[in-house]
Amino acid sequence: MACLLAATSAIAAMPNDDTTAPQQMQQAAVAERQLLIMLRMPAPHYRPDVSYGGSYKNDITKTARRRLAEELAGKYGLKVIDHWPMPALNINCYVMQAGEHISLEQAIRQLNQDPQIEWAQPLNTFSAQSTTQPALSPADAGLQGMQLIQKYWQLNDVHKLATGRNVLVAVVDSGIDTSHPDLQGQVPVRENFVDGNPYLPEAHGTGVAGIIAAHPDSKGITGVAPGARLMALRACWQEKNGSTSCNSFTLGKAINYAILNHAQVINLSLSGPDDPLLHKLIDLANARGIKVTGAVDSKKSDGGFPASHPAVFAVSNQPESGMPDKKILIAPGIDIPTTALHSRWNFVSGASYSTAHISGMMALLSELQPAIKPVKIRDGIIMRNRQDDDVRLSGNIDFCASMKQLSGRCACVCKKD
Amino acid sequence: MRLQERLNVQPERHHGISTGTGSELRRQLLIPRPWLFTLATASLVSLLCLPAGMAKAQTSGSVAIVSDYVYRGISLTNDKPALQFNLVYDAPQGWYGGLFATQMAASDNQTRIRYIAYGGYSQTLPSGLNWELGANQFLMPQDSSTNYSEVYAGLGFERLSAKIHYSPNYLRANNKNIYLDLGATYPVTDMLDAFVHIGFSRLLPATIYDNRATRCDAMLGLNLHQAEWTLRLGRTVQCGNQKTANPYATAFQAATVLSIIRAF
Repeated sequence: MACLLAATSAIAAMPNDDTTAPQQMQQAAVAERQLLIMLRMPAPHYRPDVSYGGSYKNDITKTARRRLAEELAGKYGLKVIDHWPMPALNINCYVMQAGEHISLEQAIRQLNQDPQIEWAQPLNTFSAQSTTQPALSPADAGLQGMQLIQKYWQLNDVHKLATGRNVLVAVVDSGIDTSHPDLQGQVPVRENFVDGNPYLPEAHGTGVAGIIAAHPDSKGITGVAPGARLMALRACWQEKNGSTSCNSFTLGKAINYAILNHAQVINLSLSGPDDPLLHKLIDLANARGIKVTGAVDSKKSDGGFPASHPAVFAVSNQPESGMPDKKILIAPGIDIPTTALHSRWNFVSGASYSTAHISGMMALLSELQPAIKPVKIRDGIIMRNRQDDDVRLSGNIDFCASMKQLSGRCACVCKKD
Repeated sequence: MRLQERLNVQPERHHGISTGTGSELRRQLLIPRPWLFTLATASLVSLLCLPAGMAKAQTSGSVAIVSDYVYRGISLTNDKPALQFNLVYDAPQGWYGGLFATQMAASDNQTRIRYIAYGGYSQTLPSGLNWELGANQFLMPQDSSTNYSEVYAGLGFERLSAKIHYSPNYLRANNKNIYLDLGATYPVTDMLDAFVHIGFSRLLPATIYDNRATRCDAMLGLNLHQAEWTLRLGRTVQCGNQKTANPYATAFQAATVLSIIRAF
């Protein structure tokens, strides 16, 4: 056993196929010549050669799929860049670089006609829905007084009943600064799906995390669900201009991880084009009772994806004229104080942060009603009927009435019937 | 030593567990159950004959060298190394068929090739639960006295698995056999996982006084993965099923097994 452990260390020092993926992934967003090919991963079954391996884990078949991917690449003039198993969907996802001889659309059309391929799709780009103002210093304490959500949603009262205790919330975003005083101890899981380099704390993920689960012990802010535990799944990265980007591959890896590791809420404060891989992952998350929240992109008539997905709680920070068939949740998302890098705080705006509020709400509900299905929550949320200006500040949800309706318990100051 | 003796399963005539007439016994000894044989053969044929490029089908396999071929807790190579080969065909809808070949010591103590033709159907449900049904046909062309068939059913969820095997004529010894195979893995690092296997074997019919009836085996070990290679180190133990004067006595055997597996 000691020899085996020693060998592990030795092999760990060797170049690893998977760890080279990241640099290539960073290039993927720029190159715009990359696409995704999905190959079916057979359901695990009995094999005499691994029967004493003790598991249904199907790793031994990955070599065969890699060989098939190489064959397909040769056949269609592609180059295999990276791959990732997604057992949640029984597929292996391959990133491939298309040659110059053919348009990307044409290549995808050809690949989708190949019977050996489950499906092929573009490597879509997604972006966070936010803006940020200059950071505040710790001296700007008293931030809790600026958290109007505490007043609108009567969180002081609600937290006497539920804090989202031990509910796992997957923040699929840029890196979270886990050393921030408001977030220390709140992030037991930290995974990096962007590249093989060490995890990197970034602004957007840190801001979203604070709104969901900042704990009230420091001088900073209090999250909507301070008892929740965050899974920091870094699938997005901060661009040089401060914006935050992600792509189908990094997001797919992170959502796959969240599903397999029992997240109860998945926060997607981002938007982009409809994406088959992410669509199927969200379908599966919904089938497993996971609540998925997504930020609405007001510039798109359908609100953008994943907000347009029927199973996603679509969240905006302002009234939306589009998406008539969808119940749009509006939550505070203008000048919201939240956690920032280097133990500081920011005022932030955007549907990203409205989405984080709703994720916090889902964590509270998950503590009170762990088995409640997303569809029941969607039907049970009680909407307010207010003027637009008021809605922009406090949202369109009657939070206390909704909590009572969905949990059966009085979360705020309740009227006696 | 005969395979039945190694696994402590003796033909019925030696132990007086009578289930039929002499002609029925001969028929059972010489002819495998047709439906099991057919299923296993069909799996093998599908494996060999279907075109490799069929829609979303996959062919995978492995070659391995093991320091000892331990089958359900007992060395079938007299503690000597063995070469092994496995080929699997996975059809798109969940059907699969495969052929496993390994060196082992036959009844005459000569090294022979043992084949396991297997096939079945497996599926993963949206909840993440895997289930499967299948059949095995154990074959040794040069020594067919121990060829036998099994059916099995399995469940798996995340790192846990449970399979139950049933043989209507285990090792042609005119005993029915049930074998329960429980397994679990734990990922230590990206490349290293620990695993445990526990197996319980029960011969039928049997009485509580028959110390051959129940046997157990266990294996604890580590798998080290690097690309298409796996290095496996396991410690296996076996309990029960030893012929002694005391029907309640159990014996204990242990072995360390090192395997080098190359997937393709």
